[in-house]
Formats: sequence, C-alpha cells, structure tokens
Amino acid sequence: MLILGIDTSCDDTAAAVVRDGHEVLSNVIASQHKAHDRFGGIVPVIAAREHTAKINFILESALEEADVSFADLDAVAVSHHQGLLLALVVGVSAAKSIALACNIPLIGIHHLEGHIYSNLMGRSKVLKFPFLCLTVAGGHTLLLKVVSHGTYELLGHTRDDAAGEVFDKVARHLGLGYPGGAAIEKLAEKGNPEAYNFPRPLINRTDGEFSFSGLKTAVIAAIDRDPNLNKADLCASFQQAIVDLLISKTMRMADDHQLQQITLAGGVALNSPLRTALKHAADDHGYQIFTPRNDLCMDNGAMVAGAAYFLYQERGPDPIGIDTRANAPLGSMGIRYRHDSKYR
Amino acid sequence: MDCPIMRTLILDTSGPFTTVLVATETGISYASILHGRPAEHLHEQIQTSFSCLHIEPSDLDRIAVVVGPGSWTGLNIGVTAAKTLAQVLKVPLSPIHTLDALVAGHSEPIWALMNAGRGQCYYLHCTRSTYGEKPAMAVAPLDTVSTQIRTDTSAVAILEYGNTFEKQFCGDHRYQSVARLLPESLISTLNQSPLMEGDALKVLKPVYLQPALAEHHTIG
Repeated sequence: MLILGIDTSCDDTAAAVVRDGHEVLSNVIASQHKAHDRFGGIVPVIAAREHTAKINFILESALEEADVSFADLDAVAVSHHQGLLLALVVGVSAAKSIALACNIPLIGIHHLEGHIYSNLMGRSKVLKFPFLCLTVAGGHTLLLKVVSHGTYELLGHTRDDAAGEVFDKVARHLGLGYPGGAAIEKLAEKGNPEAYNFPRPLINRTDGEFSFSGLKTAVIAAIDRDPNLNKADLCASFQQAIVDLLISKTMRMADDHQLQQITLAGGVALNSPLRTALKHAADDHGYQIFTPRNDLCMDNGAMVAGAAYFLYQERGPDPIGIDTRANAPLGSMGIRYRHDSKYR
Repeated sequence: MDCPIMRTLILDTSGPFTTVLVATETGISYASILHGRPAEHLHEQIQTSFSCLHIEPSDLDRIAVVVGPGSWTGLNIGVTAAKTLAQVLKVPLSPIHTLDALVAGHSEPIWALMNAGRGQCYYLHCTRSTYGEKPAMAVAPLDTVSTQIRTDTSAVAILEYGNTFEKQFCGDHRYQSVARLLPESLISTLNQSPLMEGDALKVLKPVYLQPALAEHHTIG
C-alpha cells in the first residue's frame, strides 16, 4: 500500500511516500527556519504563508524522489490534529484535493500519533504492545503507554512548558538563534554539566508529571545575573537537568507499569546525551530502547504515512470534511494532555 | 460534430462565504455557497458538485480561484486546494483578484475598496477610459483614498468588499457594502484571467490582507 504523507503542523513543509508502513521511498522536508529566525520563534501567519508557497513543490519532489505519480498512490494521509491551526489547514487542504482528484482514501492523523509510530516503522515485528513512549518536542512532552494501535494511556505530561520549547527559549536568551536544541547540545559538549546546580522540578514525585518552567526561569535568571558567564558550562548544566528529569520519570513509569520496551520520539529525541543516558538507564534496568531514525525524529511526512498505514487498517478512511484542530484529544480513549481550556 | 464543453471549477474562500461553482460556456452548471468554515466545507462542496453533475474530477478543464485580497486563512485553504487540484489533474489554473470580480459587470466609473488593515486599503479605480483594459489594483492609506473618492463626482458607485468603511462613507449614497462575490461576477472575470500551468501554477500565492505581514504580496 503506497501512502503519501503530509505534515504542515508547524514550521516544516513535509511530504513523503511510504510503502506498507515501513519502506520510506522519499521524505522531503522544506524548513522555514530562516523565515522565523529573526523572531526567535515561530510566527504562525508566516508559517502558513510559507506552507502555501511551498507545498506543491514539496509534493512534486516527494513523488519524483519515490519515482511514483499521483495515480500510483493508494491513499493520502495528513496531520490534521495538533499543531498551529493556520499551518495545519494548508496541508489538510492539499491532502483533501489529492484524495478528491485521485479518488483515494483520506486518512487524518493526530500529529503525536505520527511521532509515536515513527518507532514502529520497520520494527513492528520486534516492538510489541504494550510499550512505553516518551515523546519530547517543542510543543509537547508526555509519557504514554501504547496499549494497541490507536489506543494510548497517559502516564504523565508537562504541566507547563514542553522540553523542546525550553531549549528554544534558553537558546534565544543566549542569542543562539532558532531552533535552539542543536545549538545548546553543541555548546554543551565543551562544558561542565555540574557547573550549575539547576532545579529538577517534580523529580521526587512518584507520578509521571513534568514541569520545566521553573528550570527555564532559573536558567534565564542565571544568564541575566552574569553577563560574562561560561555559556558552555551553562548549556551543559541546563541540558543535564532536562535529561535527568526525562530519564527519571521514564524509568519510574516503566517500572511501575512493567513495560519492558521503551521508545523515544519527537524532535528532542535527536539529542545525543538524552539518547545515551536513556540507553544506559535502560541497560541498568534490563529494558529495551528504541529510537527512530534521525530523519524521522523531526516533523516529517514519513511518520504520518507510517501511522496511517497501521491506523487505516483499524479505523478505515476519514470523510473528505475532516476537521482541523490545534488541540485535539489523542487516540481512541480521547486522551487530554493539555489544560482543558485548550480543547475547543 | 459537437464541440467539447470547457468545464471550469471556480473556488472563492476570500470572505465569510465559501463559494464553489462549476461553469461551462453556456453558464453556471452548479453553485454552492455556504457561510464560514472553508476548512471543513470547501472539499465537501466540491465533492457534492461532482456527484450532482455526475462528473469525475478528470472532466474538469480548468480550475479558477480567488487569490485575494481577503481572509488570510480562507485564501490559504482555497489557493492550496485549487493549486493541488490543478497539479494532480494537469489542468490550467486561473487566478481571480477580488476587486476585479467586484467591479465585473459594471461599465460606469466606479471605486472598489477593501480594508487592508493598519489604516490601509486596497482600491481599484475604474474610469470610463480604463474600461476595456484592466486597471491596476493598488494599496494606499484609507484617508488619502477616501478624500480622493469624496471629490470624485464622476464615480457613480463605491463598492466595498466587507463593511469596515461604512462610517467613512456615511451619508454617501454611492457607497455599497458587498458581503460576497457574485457567481456571475466571478465567471465574467474568468475571461480576463491568465492561464497558469507547470511551475507558474505552483508559485501562485494569495494576496493577503495586511500587506505589511505578507512580504511578497503582488498587486495587479
């Protein structure tokens, strides 16, 4: 089954062609980082404008790279829930047009499901339900028990900022530009992770809840206090605090729920110290760790097509009038992982 | 032998209404106008048009779309839908400018206006000498344009797409607020619209409201 996956949930215009949920024939991503760099974060109207300008070129590139045509597609999948509303509607509009013009099924995917399923692509025989998934990105940080296809149990989530968002905000305060995660990781390589003793909020609580805003405030206060501080030491200490928080909660939830397989997903999954620390912690506990391929960590169309392949078999196609929502409950159990006022 | 029918799908998501038309040389075959929510309605309306007319998407010969100025989100949805349909079906795409459609069918001197935000307005000034050729749309401060309009005694109508300038032209009997572009106006504008194909089609961008935010907006 050949599926075209489209993702325009944030600042990357992405399209990919995936065969049978595993074989990535193409995975094209047009980044908008330059358009947003001078603002130190993502401006939704600029993201929407850039998606509209680029989407048709990206679709063509994805098909060309996969050496297929629109007529060869069996279905089109798109992220329609979770993200910037102004940006999501562009990808959804393109996907609906393709479904109509080619007379093929339309499959709407929750953006987070794309991240979760990036781990299953090519590994559905070794990764068995139920497993634990830590998804960490600029818009969310949560721990899920993946019970079966499309069914999740929320074990914990952030009460305030997402981990990736804190990376971006600290990087902006240090003048490192956007996106901040890679810049902080690079600087941290030369720094001492014990130079600053930053707080690890909620680390001693026995549940899976996260909180990063206090850590962010502490780091920004440290920057403001000392203009001549050693940036490498600060970045290393800050990164260590984030890693400690994520690892501690993940291991606790794996122990409590007796989940032997742990997956990591989202843009922060690219962070090498996090991957290494998770691997060591899992080895100590005798657990297995799965991380997606690097090109499947950031927002991309392949993960959307991959999730669509599995979920289409469970749920079937969606109607052409599917809605687009910035915040939507996740999975068949309707998990709400943000403040209730966000869901409208 | 009968001539093949040239069938055009026309989309307008520039305002509070979502309009889907299917037209041939003989007139409008199908019209659907719904209020609001183009993200959900637009493709349902297109699908219904195909089933009502018993046609396939491949029976379309051309796509036309209102490219603005107009609602930021509406235009992104409509223009992306039109570009993608044209790309998949390999048919040409015709962009329609909002103010061109607003003045279509008028032969008398007229001002067409639209709020561009931040005290600016888009305007199109059609005089007797400019009919027959396409006058250029421009953007200027509303105060400047409204002063010019008030002193222009030759103009017989002032049409605004939307209703934000009602106070500005209060008492001027020539002023009319227009809530949506009429199907007949959209169709009569088609003859003046260029046909875009290939990469030219893919680079088509909406003309947004608030020109300061849309770096690359095009006028005219």
